[in-house]
Amino acid sequence: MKLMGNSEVQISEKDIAIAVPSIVIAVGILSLPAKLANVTISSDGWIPLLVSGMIMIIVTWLFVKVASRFPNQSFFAFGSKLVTKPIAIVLIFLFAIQGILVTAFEVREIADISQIYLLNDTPMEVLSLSFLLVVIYAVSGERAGIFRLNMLFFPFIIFISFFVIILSIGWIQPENLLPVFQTSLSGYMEGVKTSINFYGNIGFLLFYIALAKQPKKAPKMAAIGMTFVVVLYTLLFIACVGVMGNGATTNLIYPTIDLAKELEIPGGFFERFDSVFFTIWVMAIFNTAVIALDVAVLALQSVFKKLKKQTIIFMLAPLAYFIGLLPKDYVEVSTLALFTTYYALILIFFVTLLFTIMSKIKGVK
Amino acid sequence: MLKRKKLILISLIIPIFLTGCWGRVEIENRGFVIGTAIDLEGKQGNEKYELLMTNQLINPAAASTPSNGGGGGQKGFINISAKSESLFTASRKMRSSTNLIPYYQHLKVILVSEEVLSEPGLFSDVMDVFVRNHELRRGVKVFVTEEEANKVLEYVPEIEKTPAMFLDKLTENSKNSGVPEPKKVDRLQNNFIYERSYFIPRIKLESNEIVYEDAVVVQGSNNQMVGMLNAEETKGLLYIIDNTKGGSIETKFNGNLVAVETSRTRPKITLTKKDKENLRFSLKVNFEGSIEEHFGKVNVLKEKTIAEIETAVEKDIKKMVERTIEKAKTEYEVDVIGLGEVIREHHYDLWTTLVDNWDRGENYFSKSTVDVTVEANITSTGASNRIKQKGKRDE
Repeated sequence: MKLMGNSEVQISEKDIAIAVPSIVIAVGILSLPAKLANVTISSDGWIPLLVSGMIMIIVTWLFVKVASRFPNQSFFAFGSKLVTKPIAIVLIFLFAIQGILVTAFEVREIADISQIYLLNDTPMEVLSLSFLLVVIYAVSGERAGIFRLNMLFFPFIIFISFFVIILSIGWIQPENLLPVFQTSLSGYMEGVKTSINFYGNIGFLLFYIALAKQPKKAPKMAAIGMTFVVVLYTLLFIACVGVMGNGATTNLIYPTIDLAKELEIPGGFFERFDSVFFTIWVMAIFNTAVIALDVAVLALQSVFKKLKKQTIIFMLAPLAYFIGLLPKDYVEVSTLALFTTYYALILIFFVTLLFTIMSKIKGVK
Repeated sequence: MLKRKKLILISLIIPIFLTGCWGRVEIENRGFVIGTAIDLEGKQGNEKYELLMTNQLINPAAASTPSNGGGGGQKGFINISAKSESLFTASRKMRSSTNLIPYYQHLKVILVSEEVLSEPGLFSDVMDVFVRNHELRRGVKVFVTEEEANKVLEYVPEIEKTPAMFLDKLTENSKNSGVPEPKKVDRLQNNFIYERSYFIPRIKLESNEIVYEDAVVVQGSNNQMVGMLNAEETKGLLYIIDNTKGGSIETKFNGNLVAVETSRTRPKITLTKKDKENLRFSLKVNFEGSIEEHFGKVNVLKEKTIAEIETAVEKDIKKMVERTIEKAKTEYEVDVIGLGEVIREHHYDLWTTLVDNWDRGENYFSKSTVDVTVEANITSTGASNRIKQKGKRDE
């Protein structure tokens, strides 16, 4: 089956490996250490982070495997084959909703954070609108552009975040990391529950597998991309707890930003290192928002084949903006975040399970 | 027609991208706060306090002249104060008394007077704004002052232009002189959260000289100051808690003075007896030093001599350390020496049973015993020796 419209792009396996971190690393990374430190003792949070990471690597591998059995077929096409057309349409709508929710949440959160850390006087509505407009601009163009952006931002994100992690080694205090393995089993379970939320958005990848040049290699590349995320999350968590201590990490709202504030390179030049750090997170979050909106568009496009891409964008974007402005305060934003991630997780687990079982039943090779 | 529509759309959208300017503050209008002093002005019953906040701003006019060029008689700083119940309100009040907008991103030091610390809970309350505010970095140094904190901010240093910068650099300098490292805001935040007792280095102004050598002891449960450690006891404390570098120990050898410089110390505390009512710790201080000054005329290169000096140093350090432990245990009954940390780090199960009664309530801390052993190693004796050359005097 030929893909429609201007989305006729082919992506290489490298693109897939990079798309995974671009999708998964979202605004959650800024608060991840706080949420995880809250339910674990001392530095134990890395264990649930790794465990949930493993689970998600397996899930990613599984669903990409299923999808790659249908080379160059859209989600709608192979979904219809596996679970009949009506169910595939329902699933596509669910993914479209997830796309809108994630876009709304990312836009809102980035606006909130920029207001706190950078532009105190600019209204949140204006900040989120200007961010959303850039997102719309990125989505309106060719889909290949999104992958090129991912590719462009990725080295910066890796370089700066690993730079911060390496820099923080000198600031880590051993007493902050001790004692080890003291969290109770229920604490670890709670930790897995908390940390798995931060891997939730991976479902969007399902829509891009159809574009893969070599679908055979896709599962492996997706798993590699996911492994990278797991490693980054784990190292960042250990750096945060090691430098600031479990107590302070728990009590900070965005410990990942504060980590960069903590580090000082002597000489005064890098006294404000957090600004550099913040920039790369904006890039990472921008990528997520773009992909989320793009997937929502792609999903609806595959159902309503007659609608133009631009029309769909202009329908969805105001909706995302509106949802993003709904929460009144930080607490309600967190509720939106929680809802979005649970929604995403349940959806991806359900789809993976359903598709794996159905492909076994139908004996797809 | 279409062209005009496009034009209208573009002109509607463009203003949105200019929003960055909404938060604009010209650099000339920014008042760079580099030091803050917090004093207690009065109590109004009902635990209502009136606080005096003094901010030290850089004087831009004087700052633009080179620091060694005389400066044209201008003071390099401006101190402004405001009174209020909360520091944030005070900071906002300052905006009406100066043309500069206080800007805290480059804050270096916070000075808190002992008076503030002697009120239960007030210290952690006043520090909250510094932990909470996103503008601040987390490495701001916190000191306690003996007298009013704002007096210290008025101390005019000879080389530096501003007192706050002077204090900031003073502590950098003190890294190698055996005085406590300053407490930073982020460490304090952990202490507040865990209600751990701690110490804060103190700054005194004695006959117009800054003295930085001792520390106050703060009870963790209510963040109230319970006492202080003098210079000697603070030094002892450093041998227990940290890998001290620098500083000298003066000891007697053959009736003469020997000054030994600390090149490295490594304390190691282990829990040896787990009986809750009678915890026993062993503290091993591994000391490495070098002889820097010797008043007598003995060959310090002889093994026996060195061994004897080492024994003397060991005895001195042991005495110092034991005095500090004794004071913390019996006089203040507050764990500033980090014994609780040892239990928390290595015997977490035990720690959970006694954390609430550690240095409060039952106070297992003061019931515990610490066995101190010191092992001194003199690794270097300097570049020369100083001995009598018998029979060579008339050469």
